[in-house]
Amino acid sequence: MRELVERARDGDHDAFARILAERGDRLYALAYLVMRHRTAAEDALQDASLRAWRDLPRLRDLDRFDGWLRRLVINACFDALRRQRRRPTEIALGPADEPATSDSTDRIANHDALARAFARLSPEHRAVVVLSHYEGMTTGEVASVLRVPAGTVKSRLHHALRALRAALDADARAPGGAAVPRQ
Amino acid sequence: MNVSDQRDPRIEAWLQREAPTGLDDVVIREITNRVRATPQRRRGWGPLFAAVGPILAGTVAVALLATFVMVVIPRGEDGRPIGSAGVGGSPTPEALQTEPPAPSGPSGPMSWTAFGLPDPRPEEIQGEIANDAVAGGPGFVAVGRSYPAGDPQALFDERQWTAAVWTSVDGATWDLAEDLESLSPADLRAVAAGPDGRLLAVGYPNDAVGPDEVAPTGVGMWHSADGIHWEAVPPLEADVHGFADVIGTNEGWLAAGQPDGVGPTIFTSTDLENWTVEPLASEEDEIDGLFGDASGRVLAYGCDHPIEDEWGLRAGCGAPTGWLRTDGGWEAVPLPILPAVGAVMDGRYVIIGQGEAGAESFSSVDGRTWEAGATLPGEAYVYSLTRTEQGLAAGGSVHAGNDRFLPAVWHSPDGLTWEPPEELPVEGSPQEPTVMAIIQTPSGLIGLGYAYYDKPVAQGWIRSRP
Repeated sequence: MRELVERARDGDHDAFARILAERGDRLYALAYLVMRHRTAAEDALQDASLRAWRDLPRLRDLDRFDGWLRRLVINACFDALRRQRRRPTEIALGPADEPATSDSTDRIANHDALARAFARLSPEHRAVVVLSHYEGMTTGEVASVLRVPAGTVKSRLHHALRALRAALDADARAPGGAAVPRQ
Repeated sequence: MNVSDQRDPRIEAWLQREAPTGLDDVVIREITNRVRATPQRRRGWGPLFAAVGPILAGTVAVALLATFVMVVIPRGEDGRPIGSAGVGGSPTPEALQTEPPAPSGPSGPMSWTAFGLPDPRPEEIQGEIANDAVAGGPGFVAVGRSYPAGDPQALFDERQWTAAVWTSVDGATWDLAEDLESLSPADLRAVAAGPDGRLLAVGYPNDAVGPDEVAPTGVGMWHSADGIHWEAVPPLEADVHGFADVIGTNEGWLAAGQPDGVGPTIFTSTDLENWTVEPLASEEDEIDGLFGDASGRVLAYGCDHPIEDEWGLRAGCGAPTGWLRTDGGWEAVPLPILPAVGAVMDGRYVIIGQGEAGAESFSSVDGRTWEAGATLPGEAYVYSLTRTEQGLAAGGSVHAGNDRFLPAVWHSPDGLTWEPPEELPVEGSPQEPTVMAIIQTPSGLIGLGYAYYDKPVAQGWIRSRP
């Protein structure tokens, strides 16, 4: 990968295309989870990719390419969501526009209450949850990607998880809800 | 506490299921085609500034909003507030007095009142954050970051973030400094006043908010005589592009930075023209900040061999490390915790870091051996620590229950014991309203920071007697 990044930095379009082919799925998933909208996530990935290509010659430490690319994707999501806030009719920040799966055996995976609570979080709080719970990043990694202090990551995660857990717990208490023990 | 401690398997499972499993090849091809049609930016920033310049020039035309005046701070006999310290205990000459300012004003309980800082673009979704503040200029100066006027797209390009500087005569009414062009796109992190009263602000120009990634445009220092008009410090011999912190002492300014190819480094100057450059450690180490007092005690702090993940990002710290200024230079000293903030109080070094138990405090007479103090009451997140007339004041945010955080200030008479937090007022229910800086005034305290509504909103609070 390092060699591909070096070649892309030096202007090799094919090398950059290969990087996108290898990384695209994961980056798209990241954007989708933050955006909650497939087309918007594609646009964010495109914006981030163009910017990555444009600015790659000035990336000083190529070993940090992956983290840098993730940050560009997250920032592209934030930017798009800010624009959408100014034109709120185009993308509704509700549950995902379409479910990724429909496995009804897993009560939690399709939790509408969780989806609604997740959508109510700010983009910055969703990003912290996605980076920590989907990407598996540590506090330091999330802080580095989002460029905020570690304490901010902790407080955002704390706030976000409380909201999400409250939604799950409320749903579990509702008639017919699934009582799932908290880990 | 770290992220892994807070992981919830239910949410992890939900996210895994929610994530799409594949990206359409058509999308990849479309992106690739656009990439092929897009020129790369080579190293060098002339074209960028040519493009950004007119946009930045537009910032001076932004109409300033009036703040609401809640409280007026009495001024000293010389007409200027005295006695202050910024984030991380950054002392100013006024704050470097051995004795804190004597209490003044009528007796009675202190209370906090909130006020807003001017928002240059209230109609936009972007916001502003005040990172640090100091007594100086017309009275008080706060620094942070904001966004330029002009092309709306500029709002979404962090490369065009610009510094935000607010000034105030009385601490209650604040104006956004109009002359921000010379500050370039930047995130201002700290500000300090030097022996001659001049102000030095430091930060990260362009989007180089950390010591990595895209090469920035400037050295990351700006100076001002009045807090309103700013000028970039000429490039230094060291290849440095941004500073984490700065303090002012009777001997001049000390700034913490990390030049390319060098480890944590202290830059010292008395005139902002001639600089002493003192590397503290190897390139593998990182410097986060520094604090000190008038007598010359200075402790810089950071991370000895940060633990990096597969992407080269800091995932942890091999060992928290301090660098103690001594007569012979700088001495590396182990620290019991990675400090978030620090200050010197009555000759003792005091640091607060985020530990397993919460915000944990430690104190040391010599900077080498440390005594554990109390954990700050409540679920505390601390971003500022300042010498006050009663001892120390730590600013940050506290979890107030029901998923709500409040801006908060903790007081300590000795740096070891801490009183329950004073919860500061906020309008509505913002996310993570936070005190980022505290200034001591003759009549009370001023807190600066932000509250996050649908955007960060720069915010201030005054603690005074009614």
